Amino acid sequence: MKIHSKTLGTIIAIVIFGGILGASAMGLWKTESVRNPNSVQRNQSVGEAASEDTVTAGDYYPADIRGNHRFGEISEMFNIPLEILAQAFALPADIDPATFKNQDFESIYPQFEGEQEIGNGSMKWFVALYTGLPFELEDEEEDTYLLQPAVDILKIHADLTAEQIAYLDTYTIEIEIEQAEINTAEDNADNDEEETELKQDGMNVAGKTTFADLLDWGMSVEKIETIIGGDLPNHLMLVYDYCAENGLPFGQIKAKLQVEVDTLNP
Amino acid sequence: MKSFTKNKIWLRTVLQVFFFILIALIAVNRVLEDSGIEIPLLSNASLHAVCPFGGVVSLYQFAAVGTFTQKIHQSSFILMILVFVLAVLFGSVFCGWVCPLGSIQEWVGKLGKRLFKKHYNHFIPRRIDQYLRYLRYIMLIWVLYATAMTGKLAFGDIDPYYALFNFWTGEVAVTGLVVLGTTLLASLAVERPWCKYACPYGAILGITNLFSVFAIRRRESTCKSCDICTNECPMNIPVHAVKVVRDHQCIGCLECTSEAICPVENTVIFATKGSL
Repeated sequence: MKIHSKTLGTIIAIVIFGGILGASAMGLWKTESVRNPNSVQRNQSVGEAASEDTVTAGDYYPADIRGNHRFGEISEMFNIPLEILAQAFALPADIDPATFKNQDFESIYPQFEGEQEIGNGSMKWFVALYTGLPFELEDEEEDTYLLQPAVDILKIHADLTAEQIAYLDTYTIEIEIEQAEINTAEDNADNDEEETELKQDGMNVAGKTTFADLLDWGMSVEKIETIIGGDLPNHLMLVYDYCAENGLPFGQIKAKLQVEVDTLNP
Repeated sequence: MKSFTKNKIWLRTVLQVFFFILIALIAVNRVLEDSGIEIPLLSNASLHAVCPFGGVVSLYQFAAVGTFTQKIHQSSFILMILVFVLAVLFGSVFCGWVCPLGSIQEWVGKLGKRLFKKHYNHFIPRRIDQYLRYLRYIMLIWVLYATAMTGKLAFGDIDPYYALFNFWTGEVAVTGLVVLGTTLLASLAVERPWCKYACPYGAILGITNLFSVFAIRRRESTCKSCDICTNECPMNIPVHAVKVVRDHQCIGCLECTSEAICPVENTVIFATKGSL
């Protein structure tokens, strides 16, 4: 059988776009995946926390939050007190929270550039947990961090599951509020120092850390096995997943691993 | 007998332009999303999510621990499967009809043809070139090994495809920009240099040329041995010297066929076995 270029081109287009449409119809076409099964559980629990009748017509979803939304607008959309938002994101006192936009986070947290980032995703995540509204946490290339004050607020005000608390503990940026409030010249030296530390977070044991990372950072197989109390699994496995599968407290394991990593990489 | 005027495989050009623009717009949409703006009806997926090679490099990790390599998503797996289906049927037509990086090399090459005329695409001596063509398999092995060992996109920092559509975002590694620049510059002298010598995805798809259902076939009884098919081939395959093109470098562009350049009708065709 001979094939003409027009037929070939048509088949190529049909296979690619037909395949994508078919995969979409079956729910298989996902361009922004959840990083691991534990994340799915976290997402589901957020969704489950909000029963159908808590979301009425006209309600907003956290996923609707955009970078150009002001804190004031978000406060109204989700009925969250403005002062809570300002406190959660440690807005400096000289900034009007009502007019502050999500996309301007970088202007007040220059020290968080890099993997540890407070951005629009952080706001969506905070609002979802605070309100219990459905939200699919899509960690694309960055993990979703919150500042310590936001985590503290959620632990007090939100109905969090144990998994959500574990996740928050993993993805918390510890910050003294006054450090965020004062981004002035006299503190630049301190900030620079902190920035340096944060930029070294390539060696921070976190939820996305794999056993391969630990080995890269100089840890021996024996040391890792001692800490996790078992044989080293496939090195591509996340430490977080290993802990979840084996019922280990991730926070404690993480802390022990971090001590070892810090010792090896002073 | 046809005249020697070349007929255009116009649908190939249409698809190349379409996919190039589509990927470019998806890359732009991705950046616009951060500003709260989006191009309607268009995906804002990351480029990694719409690259089938992402599925290939994730295979080991997916089989071993059930997760994807960092930055790779399920859509990459779907695309990988679709492209493999096409490849089993038609060989590496993805390279010749879809891949935007291949397309831009081809377009830059048109300028090279004007500059170097007959010398274009014939600068590297065949005795050296034939070995260089296997470099992409070394690249493939290294990419698969390094990705499997680290769980990270080992290819990311040198990937010219990612650099091509993200060079303006500041997210591209210098090495990626250097590879892209070198590739485009080399395209002035050699047709599709990245595809020929370095592309790991082309390497794996090229293997399907050895057994694909359809292939370029030459009818010896009517062939005038004018070599025009060989001269036209962007991948320098000696079409005039074989009955069936089973070369791992063929990109299925059909530019050598009677539909395009071969002056004798029904002599070089894209067909299944037994069609001649």
